[in-house]
Amino acid sequence: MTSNPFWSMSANPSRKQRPDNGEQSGHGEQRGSPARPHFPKKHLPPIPKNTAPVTKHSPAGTPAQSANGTHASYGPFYLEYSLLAEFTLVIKQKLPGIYVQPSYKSALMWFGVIFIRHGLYQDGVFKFTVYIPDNYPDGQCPKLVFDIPVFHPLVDPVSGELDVRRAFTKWRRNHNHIWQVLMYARTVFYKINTAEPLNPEAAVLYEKDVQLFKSKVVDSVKLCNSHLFDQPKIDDPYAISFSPWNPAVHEEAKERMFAYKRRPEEQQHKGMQVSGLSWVKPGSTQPFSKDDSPPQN
Amino acid sequence: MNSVCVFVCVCGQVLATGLSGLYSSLPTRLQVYSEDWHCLDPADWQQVPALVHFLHSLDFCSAVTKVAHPSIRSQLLGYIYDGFLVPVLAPALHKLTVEEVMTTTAYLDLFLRSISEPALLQIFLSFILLHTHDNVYILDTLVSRVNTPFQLGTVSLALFRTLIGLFCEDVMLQLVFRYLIPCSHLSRRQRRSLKQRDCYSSSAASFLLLMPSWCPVYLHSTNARSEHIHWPKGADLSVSDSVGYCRASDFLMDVNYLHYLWDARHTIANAQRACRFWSAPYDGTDPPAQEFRPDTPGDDIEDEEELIHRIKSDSIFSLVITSPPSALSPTPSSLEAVSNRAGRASSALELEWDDIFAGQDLCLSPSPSLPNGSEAAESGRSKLSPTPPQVLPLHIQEMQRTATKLVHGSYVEESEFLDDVQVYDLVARKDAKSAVLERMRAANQKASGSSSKGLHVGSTTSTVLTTTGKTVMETVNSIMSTRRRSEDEGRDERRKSTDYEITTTSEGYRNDEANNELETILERVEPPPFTNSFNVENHIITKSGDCDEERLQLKQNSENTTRQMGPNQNTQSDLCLDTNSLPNGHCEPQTPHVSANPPGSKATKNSSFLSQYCELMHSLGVEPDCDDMDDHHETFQRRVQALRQKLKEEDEFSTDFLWEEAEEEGETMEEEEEKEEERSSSANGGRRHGVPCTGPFISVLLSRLENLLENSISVNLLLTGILVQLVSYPQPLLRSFLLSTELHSQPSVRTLHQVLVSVHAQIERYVEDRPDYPALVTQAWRFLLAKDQDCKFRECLESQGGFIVLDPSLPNGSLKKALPLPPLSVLPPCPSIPPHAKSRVFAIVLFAEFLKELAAFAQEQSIAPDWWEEFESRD
Repeated sequence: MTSNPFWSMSANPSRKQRPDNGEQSGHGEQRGSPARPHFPKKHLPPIPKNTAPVTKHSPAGTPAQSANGTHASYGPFYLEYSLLAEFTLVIKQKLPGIYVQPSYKSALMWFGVIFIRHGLYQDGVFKFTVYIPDNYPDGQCPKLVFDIPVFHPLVDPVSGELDVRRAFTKWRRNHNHIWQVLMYARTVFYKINTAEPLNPEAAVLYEKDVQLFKSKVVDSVKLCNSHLFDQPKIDDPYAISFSPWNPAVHEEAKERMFAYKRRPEEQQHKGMQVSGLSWVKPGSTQPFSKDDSPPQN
Repeated sequence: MNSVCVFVCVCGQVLATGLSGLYSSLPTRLQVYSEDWHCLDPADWQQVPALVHFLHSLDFCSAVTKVAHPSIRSQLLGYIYDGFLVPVLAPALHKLTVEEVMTTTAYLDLFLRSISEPALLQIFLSFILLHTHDNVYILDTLVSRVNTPFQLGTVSLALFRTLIGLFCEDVMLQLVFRYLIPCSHLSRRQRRSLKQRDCYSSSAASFLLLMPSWCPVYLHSTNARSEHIHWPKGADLSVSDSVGYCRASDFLMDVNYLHYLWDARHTIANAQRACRFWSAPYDGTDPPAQEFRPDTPGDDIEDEEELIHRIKSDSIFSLVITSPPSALSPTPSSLEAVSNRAGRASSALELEWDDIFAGQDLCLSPSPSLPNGSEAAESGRSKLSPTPPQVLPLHIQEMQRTATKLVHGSYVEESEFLDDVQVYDLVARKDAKSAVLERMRAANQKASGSSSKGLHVGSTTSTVLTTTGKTVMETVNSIMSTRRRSEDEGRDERRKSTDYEITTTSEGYRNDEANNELETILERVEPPPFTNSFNVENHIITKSGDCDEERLQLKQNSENTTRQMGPNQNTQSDLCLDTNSLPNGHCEPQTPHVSANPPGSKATKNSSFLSQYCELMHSLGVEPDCDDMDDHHETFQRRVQALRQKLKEEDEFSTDFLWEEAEEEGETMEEEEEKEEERSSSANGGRRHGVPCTGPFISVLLSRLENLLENSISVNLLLTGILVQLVSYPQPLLRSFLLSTELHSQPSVRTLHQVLVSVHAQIERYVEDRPDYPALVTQAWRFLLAKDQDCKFRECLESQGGFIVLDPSLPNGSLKKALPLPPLSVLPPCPSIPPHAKSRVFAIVLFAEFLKELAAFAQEQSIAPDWWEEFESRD
């Protein structure tokens, strides 16, 4: 449930495209939240075809990546593929109610949105941005910053940053993955932890006066949702932006989503080499074990 | 209706016989031969009218198959199988001269490439995979020919490129997966991490580290401050909005790598699509590792009559066994070996390098001559047969056992053998049943009684057997000594002797034409050079070998084994019982070495671990189920997984966030297991899952790759091409085997990475002595890259609107704009490379490029969508 349902509209071709999964999960999301039948559709601007990215050469830039101890010229590829792999893992996890999308400008910055379906923060829709350190995966854990500081003991009331480090005191490659951070961000809203809070007020209220805490949370959720249609905080073609339901724009997309169908199988090339054959009966390890197999000598 | 059927039947017969007829008019030798010719291109076959004819009628068969009623279709296919493939193509693949065999192989390759109808292709493939000619599967014969130093080897490689390119599960099952399914080539930890991805490109990095130290990329990286990402750092967006890679001056290298990535992505996507109809994911759990199929089907189907009929019809066959088999080894393994040998002897005489190690079967199992040999064998077999699920097929185990016995005195781990191509080659061959031998003996006695020629040649054959017997002894010894010596020394020697061998063999071969002069041949034709064999030196020894001495040695040896046999069999069964009672349930093929260990020692080790495990689990507040030690880690994994699942599902009510702790636990467990693994492996001589092996095809491929510097350009291109094909397959078993660069592998299994490390060392050494080489190679490299680049751009321009090599919408920089098309005049001139150095220079360039390609595949594989899940969600 992580990939954006509008992947196919917005993703650039070099990234992993998972329109199928995205649409499927979008589908599930739709049914999973009947409480908001007219939930506004996310709308992403089209790909800015003409905005070629600026290529600026700055000799004093980041040091060459040599995280893997190999020669530097492949460093960028390693970092990029590490991030791609992380993103693939996120997609695989199908985290409920979480969508993320890497920014157009930098693979080190991911835009996300989280839907809370139960509990104190029910109906909350919180946009956030994940910042990944550029020495990933050998640096600190990624930062997760909410666009609007949610009223929560672990969310900084000024910057909106979530206290991720308490869960990942040390970021360990191979053990820690970005999907875990996202998962953690979700968990935080279902299970309130008040120890060493970033927002002491929220922590104290939760301990002493849950009713007041609850009402503050409701206010906070309302505030967040009222800013839902605002322009994205960060100007990026792939930033997640919402727009009110507009049948002209969204109806068709919705139809397509519900009438989900896999891409038409690639056409059989006439006269081309046949490929991808199997006469192995499932569960067997014998060649030609299917019933319609040829006579064996 | 009837008449239609009759018509179609007749038609089918006509088609099949028509194919046979047309085939017989094909030239038996082709006159194409340039040195790197390896397959029939359209340009080739269009010049041969008979071949055009044949392909047309094959097309017609395809068309008929496509439209015909199923029953008629199956009839037609049956005719093609029984009327063309078996009686015509099979013998043609076993013809007398290399050229003929090579031509047939090229034809078969062409046929496979031109058949567009799956049902027809199925017939051809089942012929290759399941048909046995003289008791050897066609596939095994073809695999063994890959190692031929002549053009036949190259053409065989091309055939396998075609076969692998089919993405046919059945082919890959027989060729590769059946050896990987047991997972014996993996350590426990690797087995568990089969499905994990290499998130941080560590495989790619390891491959790229093997680049020659002086190669251009490396040079550039030293001054490469200009090579880095300008992504905005963290939240600090205002400072830097620059995006994308800054390219270094040497754009060719970088663009080149992007090409590889791009290629890899598409190749992998194609492979995933192609494999969507496969029956299983081959991920280490499905098919389950325990479910091992000892042998290919259809072994027992052949009935006696057919066999005898075959023996009679095959005139050469009668030459084979005239010495009474009872004089030979009656143990199951040796009986198999004998019959195996017998079955293949005819082809051995025709095409020696097919069967280089044919004789070894026999000699690896020298055994006492008992009067009731065959009965003993039967009982021995029946004793062995009820063993629980085998980790390896019986014949491989036998091989292992006999191999160990053979070198009993010389401190040899069996494992050292088993990664040898030779042994794989042996193992690859199907073992005939002892009953078959009986029948053959009967048939042969008739045959030999009737013909004096048969007798004559028969005696010669037995000489061969003994001669090869010596060879194998020598081989084994030399393998050992070679291994003990540093690899390097051996390689040079080998190289020299290989050259020498090639000349002698081809000379002998020319003399071969008079087929009845077998004696001469036997004297002159050495076991052919094995490009990567360890036994070349001893060929020379054998040459001067004295027959009597050899016989003596063989005899002594068999006596030795006799002595070992008796007690060994006992321990064998004891140990079987013992291992059965062991919790992990593997019946490990125990060897005399191992049996020397008190069986209890392992058990104690195990139980100490067991108690540790229990403690650990208790401390975690879980009830350990110690009974099921085999699955304990799986159980644990499952438990962890279940916990995670729970966490995921009910995290609305979840208690706490437990990443750290959960991971810690996992890690502790892992460490424990590692320790346990080490302990138990030291207890049973480094082997826990039987003989790790990855099959003859992979090992032949890798051994030829190791010889990269000596290979011709075309062979190297084919080899790397095939390996890249294999690397594109999505099945975790294959992917992880080929791309794994971890050292923690089974000691006896050679991985692609290990072979590349060895090639890297060869190159470094070679260049060290030749200071002019780096310049030469770099020059050639630039030329090739520039040429390649040029080709690609031109292709691009030609197919405008199509697929652009560098996508302009890449987020990391508009490369296309950054790169002006290099004008043709810019192309560096082709460097003048001395002709003798050409193939080596190109081999070095190819090696470096292959590393990049592999790295690109490793990176793309690490981010490829989950093939099997995607594919299952489809239904």
